[in-house]
Amino acid sequence: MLWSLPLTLRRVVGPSMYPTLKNNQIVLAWKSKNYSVNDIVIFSLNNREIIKRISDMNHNLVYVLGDNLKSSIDSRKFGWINLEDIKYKIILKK
Amino acid sequence: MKVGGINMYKAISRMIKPVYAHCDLPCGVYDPMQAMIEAKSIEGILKKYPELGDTDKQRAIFIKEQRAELVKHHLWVLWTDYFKPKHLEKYPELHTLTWETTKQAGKTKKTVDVVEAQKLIAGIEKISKIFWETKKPV
Repeated sequence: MLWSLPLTLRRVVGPSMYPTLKNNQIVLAWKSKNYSVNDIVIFSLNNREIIKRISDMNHNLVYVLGDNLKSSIDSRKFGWINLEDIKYKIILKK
Repeated sequence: MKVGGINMYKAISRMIKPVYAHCDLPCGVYDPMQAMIEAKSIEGILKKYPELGDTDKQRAIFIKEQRAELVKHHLWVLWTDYFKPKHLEKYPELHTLTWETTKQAGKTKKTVDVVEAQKLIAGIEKISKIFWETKKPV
């Protein structure tokens, strides 16, 4: 089934990861089980897939920030997310 | 590559599922307490500042500036995302109050005077009062 593929493509919508990722940029994402600080990850929040960078990790909790700090709503606003909410790690950007 | 006047890259990319890097999320969670916590942090730093050693003073200044920037950010989110025209009709001072309070956050970057941090807290308290009044059932 398509949704269970370990590799997937996503199209970035919005400016919060600028300049690393620009609006409409295509990224290749990997369904990883290992995440670390500085990884760009896709996670679920309010039934939406969000993309941010891991800034800090504490056991099962992850603090995520947008690279464009002035235009990003991230863990500074919605707090730490759960590790299990992370779905993919970005491995390639086009 | 264009086919029949259609940019194929754009056309194909539109078919790829979006992932959101929006500057805002439709979570609807707002609270002036976020700005207040950062402002209290500035006040706390400035109270301790005179007793700190040189290295800690440098750190204190750096952290204070970060907190001041966060105060501005949190107030701007309230100003631009939460408050609606109907709130401004009822509280016409809101624009000036938010502007003056974010300016005050900027002032706390330039000083080690705790009084400036207390002025900032007072401004956030006024915004907070309006915020919670808007939350009351009509």
